[in-house]
Amino acid sequence: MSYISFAFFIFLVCMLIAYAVTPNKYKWIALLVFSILFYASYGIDKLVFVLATSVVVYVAAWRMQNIWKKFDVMSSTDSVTPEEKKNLKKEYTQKSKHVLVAAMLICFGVMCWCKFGSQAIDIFNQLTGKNLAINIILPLGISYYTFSSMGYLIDIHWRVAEAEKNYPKLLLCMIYFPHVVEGPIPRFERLLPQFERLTFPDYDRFCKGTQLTLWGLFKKMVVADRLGIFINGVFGNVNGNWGLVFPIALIFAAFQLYADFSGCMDIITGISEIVGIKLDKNFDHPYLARDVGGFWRRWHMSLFNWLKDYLYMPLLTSRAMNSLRKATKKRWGKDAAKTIVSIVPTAGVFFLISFWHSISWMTVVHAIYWTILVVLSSAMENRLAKLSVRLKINTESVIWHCFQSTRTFLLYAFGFFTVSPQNFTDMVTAFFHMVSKWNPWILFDGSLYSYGLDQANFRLAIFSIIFLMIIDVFQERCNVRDAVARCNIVIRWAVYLAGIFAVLIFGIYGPGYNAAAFIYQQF
Amino acid sequence: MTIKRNLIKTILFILLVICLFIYAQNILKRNWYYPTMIEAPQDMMDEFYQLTNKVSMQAVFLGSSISEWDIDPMKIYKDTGIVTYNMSSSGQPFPVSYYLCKEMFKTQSPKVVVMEASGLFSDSFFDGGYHYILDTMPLSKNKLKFASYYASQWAKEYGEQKKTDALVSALLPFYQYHTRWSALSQSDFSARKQLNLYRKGHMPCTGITPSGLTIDWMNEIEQEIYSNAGWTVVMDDGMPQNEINTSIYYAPQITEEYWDMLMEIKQICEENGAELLLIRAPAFGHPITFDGAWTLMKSNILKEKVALSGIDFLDLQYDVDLGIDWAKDAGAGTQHLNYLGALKLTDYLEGFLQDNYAVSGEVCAAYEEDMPLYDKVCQLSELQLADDLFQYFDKLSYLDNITLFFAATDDIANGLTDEICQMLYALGLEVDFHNMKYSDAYLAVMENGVNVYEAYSNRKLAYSNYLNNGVGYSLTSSGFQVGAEAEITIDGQNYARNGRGMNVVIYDNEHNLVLDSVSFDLHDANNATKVLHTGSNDYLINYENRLMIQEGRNQ
Repeated sequence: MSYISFAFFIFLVCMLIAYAVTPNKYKWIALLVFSILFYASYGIDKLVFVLATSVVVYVAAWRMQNIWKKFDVMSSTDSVTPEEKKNLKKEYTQKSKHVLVAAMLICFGVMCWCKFGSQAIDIFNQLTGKNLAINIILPLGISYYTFSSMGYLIDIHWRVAEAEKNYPKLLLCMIYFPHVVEGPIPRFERLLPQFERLTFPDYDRFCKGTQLTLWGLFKKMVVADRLGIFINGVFGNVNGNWGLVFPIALIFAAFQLYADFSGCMDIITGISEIVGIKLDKNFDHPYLARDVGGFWRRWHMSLFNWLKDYLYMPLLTSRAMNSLRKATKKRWGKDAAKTIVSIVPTAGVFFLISFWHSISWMTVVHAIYWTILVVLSSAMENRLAKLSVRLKINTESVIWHCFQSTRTFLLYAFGFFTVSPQNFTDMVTAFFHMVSKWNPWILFDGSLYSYGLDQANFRLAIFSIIFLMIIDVFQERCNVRDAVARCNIVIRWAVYLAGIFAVLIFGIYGPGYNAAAFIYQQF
Repeated sequence: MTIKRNLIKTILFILLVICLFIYAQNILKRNWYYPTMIEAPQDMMDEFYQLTNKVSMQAVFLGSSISEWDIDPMKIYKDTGIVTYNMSSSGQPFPVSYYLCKEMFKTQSPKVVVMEASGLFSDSFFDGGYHYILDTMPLSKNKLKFASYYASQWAKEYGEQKKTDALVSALLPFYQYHTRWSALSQSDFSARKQLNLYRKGHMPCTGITPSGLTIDWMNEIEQEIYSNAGWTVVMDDGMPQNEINTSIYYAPQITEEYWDMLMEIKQICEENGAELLLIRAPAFGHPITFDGAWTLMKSNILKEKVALSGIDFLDLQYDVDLGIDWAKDAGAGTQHLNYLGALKLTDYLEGFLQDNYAVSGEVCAAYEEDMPLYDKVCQLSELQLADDLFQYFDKLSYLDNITLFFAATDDIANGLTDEICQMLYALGLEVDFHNMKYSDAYLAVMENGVNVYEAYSNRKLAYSNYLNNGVGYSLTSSGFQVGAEAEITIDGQNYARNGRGMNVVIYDNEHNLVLDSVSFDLHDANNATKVLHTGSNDYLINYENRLMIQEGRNQ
């Protein structure tokens, strides 16, 4: 049941009615029931996986909690010396770690099997010549609920979070229907308390939530799915296309992914706002970022924060990295040490992200591309700052900001060479076809209208991209949503009506289209 | 107080959205009405619902465009007083006939339901055939079932995941047609005028597309194909060529699901006191490329099947000689009959209904009201299909307030007989045709019977002026030796057929439109009286459209 399907609209209306009539104290139960129904709409068999994972997480969390409680009791007795306390902590940390590792092995193991099992079997069949066939089920949002629940367990292990006593509430955290498809990866400690204070209906919240949902629908149905038609037209036939059409398709692909992913976030954040739940922010106008580091701090924020907290920082502060830092600092100085030490955790993050999407040569190239860019960006930061001073560039001017944002965006868009083609061969072909022909006339002779978008739709695509960016720029400076909400009723309603009918009329939906699934749903 | 205010605001906003949605839907919705679509299912359905509480239909026809073009209920009424209605529509799939039949029985109790059988042999999914009717049928339990059936067919064709989309699109045209935003034109934003619908579902046609093919040829081809399982068709300039050892397999058969529907229709008819008559109108073509080709093999299959089921079947191609002249009576290849062909078929069918079913004539006020419009269209149709110069000008006498434009090209002197000259003089032309020389140019304008201008010359002639209603026109004529060209431009558009001899354009001063454009090859003495038509149906369509918009029923 896609968030943009007619069935979901009916589901949502039913959910809101049921939610409204449920007493506030039990509203979380209504959410749980509808989340289970939503999940089950993708297949009852998939529900088994998430239920099993939730049981493992619940049991492991309680086991760790009990271990730490025991430690607290033992370490708080007066007779325990600091030395003994230290040893006790070591002992109990080890015990807790065993539980954590066991739970992580089970959960990540299930996730890896579901996500990469088919690929592994293919490789096995190729290597052995056998014809092994296993039907592997890919549960909806398995990465999202696995990452979030592992973060929850790690937090308990680190003693920064408490284990949830109420299993259904924990299950709701994992399969809450707005975030189970594409995230954001929730932090349970921020989500769980919200289940205690749910209220509905709230007129202002309803209006603002609907407003955000509408904006998300516009991004997805008007912008992303329209651009998708052009991109498929170009990368679906890389052998037949040449020259400038590829950079155009790459730029479109970058906007498509942004509109698709952030559109989905706006839809689900809007729905959550209506029911009274605040989800974590996942995008912060990434195409306005002025450097690649900044870009990744604004893009898919919940995943990158998760990786920063549970992978990047632990790696960076590990003993091995500390030793490396000391050694390199002694030999090449502070700046070089910082750069060299950051390579491993950065590469770890990007390789993990890349393999999370899929395991292929393209994702290897993708990971290397971004590791190099991020490390270089960090290493060159000071030098570029000095250079701009020497060249007397006003780094606070709008033009310089635009230049930096455009440069960052183009670097990101170029990276789509590792994403948009269907395979490695297509990627190489597309690259050589792009650089081997200079055909600027396609911008003027109507050739661009032969990739699935006619003239009117192509123009609409361009216009909607510009509109999207204008709103992003305003949103960066002020709160556009609040500004609209503060307008007088005529302007406000005019804006809402324009939004509704823009989606209804210009949206890519209906029996003539295969309504594109959200891109990140597959991950 | 705040809650109440917010509730009112919410309700008002929702109402506003609904109103705008309906308005947008009306703009975006595909226009299945006349003249946007010549086979106007919207008009057919609108007229049915307009009439259904006023008249009692004794026979109803269902089927595809074959029966839509071939059966004329107004002619049946005019000849016999039997009130009938044609609910056929373009590409009407058999299931659509089934649901239309059920819709019809909600308000009508005809004595006989006549179904054209071509749909029984075709199970290919034609989306338009469903939407023409779905988009025009008001919401009801029957429509919900119809929409559900349509969605299941769509799912069979495009996958189960699209079923909901198809169902929603069947009930909510916006869902299907919102993509038309880039194709909107001025006509989409103009409110549709209240039309004077009078056609009773019939699609009149005055186009002629003569065919050199024959029914025997079709059956020979079928036999050849059938005797070589594995034959295929290689398209060569649009004509199929046979080639052995290829992959297309041809075996005509009745779709079982549709046959079951037919039996259900029979049962529904019986429950409503009506009889079911299955007919098959004449149509032929290559058995593979034309789905509706009525071959002998199909005819025999159907006859065998109906004999067992007790359904009446009338084969108008093989069992009856309607006297169809395929060189003159067909309007769209050999697949549909034009006005002349429809007259012959309808003539036979009305007699058959009278002889075999309990139908009887009566005076029907609604049909009587529409008769003047129908007569006007018939008169114009007869004019547009007349093939003899004397007949043609004779039929002009039925038309009022017209202007005749004459422009010669190449030569008109060679074939001008005394008889023709007399006829031209009778029209009001005055020049001395007997003195005309070979290759002389000639122009004339007769506005409402008054000779406004007339001249001939051995040089090129040109003339321009305004009609009394203010419409400008210009004419040019040149003989063989000075250019051989004729132009009759009215309101900026050249309507002359520019055929050798005399070109004539007939203009309706009242409705401001061209009624016909023909030429007579007066250079060829042997064929001087033969009317050479454009072969187009457009002049009739424009005329009908203007009649439906401008003429009130009571005028």
